[in-house]
Amino acid sequence: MTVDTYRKNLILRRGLLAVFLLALAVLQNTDGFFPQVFGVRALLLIPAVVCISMFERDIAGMFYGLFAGALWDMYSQGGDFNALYLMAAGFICGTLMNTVMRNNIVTAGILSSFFVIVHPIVYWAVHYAFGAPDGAVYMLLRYYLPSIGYTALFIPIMFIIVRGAEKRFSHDE
Amino acid sequence: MIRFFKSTAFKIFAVVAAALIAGSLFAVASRGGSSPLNNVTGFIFGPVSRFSTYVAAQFKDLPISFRSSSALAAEIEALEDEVDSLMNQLVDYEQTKHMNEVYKAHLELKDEHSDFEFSEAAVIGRDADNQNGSFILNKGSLNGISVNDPVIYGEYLVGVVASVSATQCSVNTILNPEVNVSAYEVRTRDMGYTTSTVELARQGLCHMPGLASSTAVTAGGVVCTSGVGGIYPRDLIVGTITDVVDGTVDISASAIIQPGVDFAGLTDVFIITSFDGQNEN
Repeated sequence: MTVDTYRKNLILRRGLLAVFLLALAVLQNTDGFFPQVFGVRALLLIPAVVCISMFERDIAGMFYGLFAGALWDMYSQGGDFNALYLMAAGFICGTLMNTVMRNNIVTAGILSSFFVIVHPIVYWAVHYAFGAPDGAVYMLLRYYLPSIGYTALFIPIMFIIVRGAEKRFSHDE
Repeated sequence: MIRFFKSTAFKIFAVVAAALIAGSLFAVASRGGSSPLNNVTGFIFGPVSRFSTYVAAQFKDLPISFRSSSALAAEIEALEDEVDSLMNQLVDYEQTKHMNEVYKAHLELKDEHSDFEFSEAAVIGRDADNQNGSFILNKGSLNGISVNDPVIYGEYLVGVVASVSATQCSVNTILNPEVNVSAYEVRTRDMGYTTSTVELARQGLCHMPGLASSTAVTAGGVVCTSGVGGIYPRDLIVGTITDVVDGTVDISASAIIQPGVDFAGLTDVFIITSFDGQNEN
């Protein structure tokens, strides 16, 4: 592969993944765009960032997480919680791929599940358990735990999509 | 491990994380409540968000989400209640609008005849056996209504109170052959009276018999009450002359009159309970 082809593939791949995250941010946070199950939403950005970071590794994964989290924070109330969280998730997953883990659908499932479980729990803890104890358990059981299960259904789909993009514009060709 | 913390990737991560934490603290401290990253992202991608919300709103009726049947049932019940409320409001509005028109017409009459005292009444029934347009009103002697009180709609004469009970009264319209109204034609000043026949009443007409055969009364003329007899005040409109025919019994002429009121469509009328000259013979 020539340098030009490599650079072209790199730009196309990373641009495509950025657009993919933008589309997921819109789908996740706009009412009526993505099906809700009895009011429960899927947190699509989390498995997407994890899967992207597994292929793009630590630095790029970190910035993809930052980008996805910044888009998510646009729909939430101030602060950079999601940007910080997804940036950390992207960095950690990319670093793990560089050091101790292999990149496959099983490890994608494990890492995505971890970050998908932690995010709603932390959010619930900050906004309900410590912020508004009345009805906190109900909110956890009614919305946050079901959202973990709903999101988990999309982990394999995210991995397949990201892997497809990586293969199409691979830097190994 | 130390190598990891000394790596470029970790240093970049630490710097960016510190910047994000600083931004979050800034968001807490500032009045706007948004971090610099929020502001930048919102500025760049805000149009995308607004566009997506607009598109989603266009397709909001598509049932893509699963909602519980109880939530939908509650929504349906709330919407039905709202529909009922709006229907009631619509009925109230139409009723108020109608009454406003009735009162407006009678206000003009009151301005012209300051001596009139009115009682507003609603039609509550019609005698199925009576073909002369007679009806029952919801006011009676307790409201000051008496027999022979004239009944009007706007400036038009409807009829006369025929019988009264405590809370209601019956009205004979001018189509009733038993009702005679002293009247005159406004242009020619021909005096006479209006009454009706069974045949004319069936057609919704009355007539003014006893006119001279050489009368100048013609179709289009307006017939009004003359006030003679003390039952009906002067200058209430009876109707418009549609034809002048020769009498069948004698050599007089008769003016056929189309009343100015649709008796079948009346729902609200006014009863004149007192006027200057009432009961003066």
